[in-house]
Amino acid sequence: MDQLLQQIVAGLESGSSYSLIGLAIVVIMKSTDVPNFAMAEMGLVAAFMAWFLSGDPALGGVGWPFWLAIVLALAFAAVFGAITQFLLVRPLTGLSNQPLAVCASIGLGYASVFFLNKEGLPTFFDWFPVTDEGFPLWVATIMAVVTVALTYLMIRYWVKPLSKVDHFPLLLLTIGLNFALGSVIENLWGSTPKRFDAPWSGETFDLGNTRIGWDQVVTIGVGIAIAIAMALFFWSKWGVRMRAIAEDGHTARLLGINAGRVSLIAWAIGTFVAGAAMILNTSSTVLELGSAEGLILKGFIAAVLGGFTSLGGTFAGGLLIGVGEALAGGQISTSLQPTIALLVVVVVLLVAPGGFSRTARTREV
Amino acid sequence: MTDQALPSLYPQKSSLRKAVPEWASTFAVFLFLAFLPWMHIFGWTDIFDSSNNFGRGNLAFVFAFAIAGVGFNLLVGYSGTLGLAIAGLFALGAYGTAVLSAPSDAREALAGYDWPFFVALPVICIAAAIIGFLVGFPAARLKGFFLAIATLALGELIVTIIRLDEKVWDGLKTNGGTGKQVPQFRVPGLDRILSVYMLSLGALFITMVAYVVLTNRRLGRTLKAVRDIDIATGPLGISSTYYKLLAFGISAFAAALAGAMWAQNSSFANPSAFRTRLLVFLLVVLIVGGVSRKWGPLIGAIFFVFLRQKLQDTQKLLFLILGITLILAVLILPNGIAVLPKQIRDSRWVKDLQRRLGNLTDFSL
Amino acid sequence: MMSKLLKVLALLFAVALVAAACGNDDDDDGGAAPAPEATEAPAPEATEAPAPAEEDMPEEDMAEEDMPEEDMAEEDMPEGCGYATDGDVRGVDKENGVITIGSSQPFTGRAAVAGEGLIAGIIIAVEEVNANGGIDGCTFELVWEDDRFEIEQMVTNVRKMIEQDNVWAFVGTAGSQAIPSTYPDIEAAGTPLWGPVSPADQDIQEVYLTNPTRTEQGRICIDHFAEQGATKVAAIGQDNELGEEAFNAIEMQAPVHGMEIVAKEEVEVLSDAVAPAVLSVIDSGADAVLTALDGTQNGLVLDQFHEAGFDPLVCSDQGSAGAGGQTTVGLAVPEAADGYLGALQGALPDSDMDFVQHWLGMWEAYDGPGAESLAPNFSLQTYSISRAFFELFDRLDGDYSYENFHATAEAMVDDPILIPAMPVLACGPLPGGHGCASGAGISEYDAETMTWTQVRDFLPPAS
Repeated sequence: MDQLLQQIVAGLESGSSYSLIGLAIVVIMKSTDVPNFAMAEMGLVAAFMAWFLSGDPALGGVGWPFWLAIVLALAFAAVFGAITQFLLVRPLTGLSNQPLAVCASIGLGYASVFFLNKEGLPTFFDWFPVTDEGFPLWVATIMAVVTVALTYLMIRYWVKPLSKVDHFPLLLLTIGLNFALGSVIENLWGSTPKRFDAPWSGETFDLGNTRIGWDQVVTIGVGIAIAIAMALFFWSKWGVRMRAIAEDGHTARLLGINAGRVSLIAWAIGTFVAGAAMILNTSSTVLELGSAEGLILKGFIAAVLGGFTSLGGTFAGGLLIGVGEALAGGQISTSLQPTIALLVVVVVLLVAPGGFSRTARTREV
Repeated sequence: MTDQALPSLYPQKSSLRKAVPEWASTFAVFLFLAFLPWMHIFGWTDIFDSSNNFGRGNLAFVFAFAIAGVGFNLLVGYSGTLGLAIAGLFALGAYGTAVLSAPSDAREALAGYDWPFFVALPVICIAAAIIGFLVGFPAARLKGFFLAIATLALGELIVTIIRLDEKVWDGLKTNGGTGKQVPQFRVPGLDRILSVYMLSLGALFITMVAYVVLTNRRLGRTLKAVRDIDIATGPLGISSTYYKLLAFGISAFAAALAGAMWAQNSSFANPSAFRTRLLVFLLVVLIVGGVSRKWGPLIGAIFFVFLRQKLQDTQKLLFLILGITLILAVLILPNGIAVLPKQIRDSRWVKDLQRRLGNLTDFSL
Repeated sequence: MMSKLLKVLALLFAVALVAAACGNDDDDDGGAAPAPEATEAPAPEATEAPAPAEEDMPEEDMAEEDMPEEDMAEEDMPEGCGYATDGDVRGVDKENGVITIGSSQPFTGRAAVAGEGLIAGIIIAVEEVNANGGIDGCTFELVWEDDRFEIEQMVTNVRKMIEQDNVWAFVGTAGSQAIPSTYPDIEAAGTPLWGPVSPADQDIQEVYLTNPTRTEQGRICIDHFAEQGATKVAAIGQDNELGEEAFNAIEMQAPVHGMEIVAKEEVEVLSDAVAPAVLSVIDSGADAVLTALDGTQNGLVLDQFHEAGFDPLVCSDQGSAGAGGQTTVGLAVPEAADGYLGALQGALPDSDMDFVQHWLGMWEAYDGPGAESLAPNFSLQTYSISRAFFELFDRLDGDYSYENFHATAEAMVDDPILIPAMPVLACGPLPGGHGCASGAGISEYDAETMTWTQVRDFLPPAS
């Protein structure tokens, strides 16, 4: 019995991370209809931020107190999510592309002055026969001005709202974002796996004959707390608006709901939750580049079980996958473990595409 | 569906294009590629220097990615169905041909069923097509994003089964996570890499011809109709499900063929080669080249292999650039590089410019 | 109006810029292509201490520094580099006395920490031998590529190094899942591969394995378990070659000592979900565990054993234990990592052996690629392997044809190469002879001092 209990606890622990990623996906899906494949990776950026702020200065951290680092990292996550929505998603849903144009052209302009002056053209342009070293500052400045102007014009004129509501470009966008973020993390913090210590890391207590880690308790507890908080949020003013948008965007807009702002809030909340999930997950395992890779698919599967609408269904789904994996691995064979989640999603989608949600229907999109 | 959208969906051929029959240009391109290994015209690119094995090998990779891209194009570009099982089907082709054509009396890493290569190849491609068809059957009920998740999980499931090997079925002979040596098919009279080159080129040729035939006939138009006005196809006497299944089957066939060619080139396959990363590569190939463009996948594959090799020294940047490429493709080039000149020509400010320049230079002689 | 005008100006400017760039193209005469070595004037400042090669363009930097040394070497060598070599051999530049060797390593991705250490060791060895005037009138040029441990990248790297860089041999290319993909190209070109290759070589003429296989290291772990009085042994392996070799080891060696195999558990590649395997092993009541995982997973397993209050002997092969470095133990809490055992393929990097001290001096002064690596143990490993390679090169006596290379290498079975920091290298003819090294030691990690100490001598597995 002890072993069974331990397996269930271990399953709930990993399931809790799946659930939180799933919830983050559902919040964004509900409000903006964007299937965010980069959800876990965005959370991982926040986790790296938390590690960076709290880490030992000898290992490349800043060395601030743990709790301060967590608060800052989660705040960063929320802002990061909002910025992503503001810059990348808004223009595709028919709102102004001005912010993207301004930010991209200024950013690119700055980068090109800096880079062209210091390094010349990037090495992958070595087939382009110009100087190997950096350009003089005035040449670099002129080139940067041109870059800024071209970028601005290109974005202003070519970034257009999608002609019809279509998941494909949005999914592509987030897949691109996912891999770009992974690369940013690798460039900033390297690919060496890191130990991310939380105050509860490595502490245990005994429950009867079973030894339980505090990290397990914290992960499961925080997971439940966030799920409840989100459920409460959906009954608040903004939550109701969000649901209204999800139910019928057009009518909701006619009723005067600011869809842009609702979406902004949803992205901030979603990334915040994903950040929390990744911090919990990496502090009880290891912080590394691949941390998000396994979680995103499981998060999506949890969301599928919730039919992409039901928060409760998503949360239960994530826990179920986690426990199912742990039990299949422990009771039958560890080599069976990776197939569980995949089998679940294939079966669920083929048999009951609505998942656990009461409205068992496919979304018409 | 607005009226303005129609002309761009069904582009009118320019008069120049009409003058050269489509099949003639296709044949010319393939004739050129067939003699390319004996022409040293791309020596300056290093990467595609067809006079040595490095360049020929890279080109053979281009062909393999292009084959998968053509099938993907038919599925996504024509039928509008977002199937993401492509990486798994690619693996099926690679492993299938390897296992079936391997000698039965070899050690584990090379053991197989002694089939001739040219029996194994069509059998495995047809098997993949049947799997695609069967999967498509229930999956065609799913919409947009649900379908993406279901097929993504299915692709992962295929790879997982390959990895589990004898734990699923003794006769699988995939040699688990260790990887499988691929027996090489040798075109008589050619060395190994040249033989791979010609084989891949031949496979691409067949795929291309099939694509041209399929899309120019009734099927192509029907698929587009299915994509654009799905629900309305019923009254027209078209079963959208049937055509979606067909698109699934054909793209699965192409993916398996591409996988087989890839395996011939790399001579070894292991499950980690077919993870989400491969899917991203193929998405870049498809999207950069341009969805529903005939030469799109080939252009995309050339772009991808070139970029990947150019960033060889700085692979940390590869995914950043691929990710940004995908984001940009969605934001500003939804129709791919192949239509960039047209897009520039048609954009409003270039038209302004033309008008102004026209005014400036408008002296009547 | 104003904004439209600006747009027009911007466009004109862009056109002008493109035109200017294209104009340059014609004048430059394809200046981007690296100039052939012969035309480069020897740079006087690059004599003894070679400038640290930049990561971006390693090949060119390395090429430059060879020039002056070769001049000096030629003066006291009556017969220049490759004097006994008939005709042209790929990668042997008799005229300039330069031998090109290559290496493909993972500098990015999950295995980057190993790859950086591995390449640093080879560079140190090449710089040392060049600084000493080379061997038999030849100096060495090293080219390397990043493979991220991926099949396609590895295949193209090997093709590129053979076809474009004309390498004579591959040195120190590390073991990885993807390496069999390069065998057909290596066989076709006849280019020897000399390195810690894993999976074990499959009787390919060109491939020489300079380190004991993982199976052998695992068997030695089990010998050590037996000496410590363990009776119930378990294994946790990745679901690939790594795990396969561990399971082979446990099946071969446990019966030798009359030990009972109580569990064989698998963990998915690149996954952090080790809990089910760990719980099963704990439940099996094993008192010794052989793990064959990557560093991250090993760290997690140690942590979870510790959390569960379970304290068996845990041993891994050198690569996955990171013995001699902090790559694995640094990921577990100190109490969990204490007492962890790692097989040794060579001496520890803090050994007081003269050879190791000699290397350590150079490692500390080294500031090229991989100098910041957390894994000096990998650097020492490839340094030793490269030294063995140069010793073999010396034995070729100027005949650098591949026939002579294979004949000389396979004769090592009677006249082994002895490098102090690694097992005796005695390659023999095929089949089976290209696994040159046998025997391994065991080291133990002490969390308090954060050091590894060797606890068992280099011995072949008991039978």
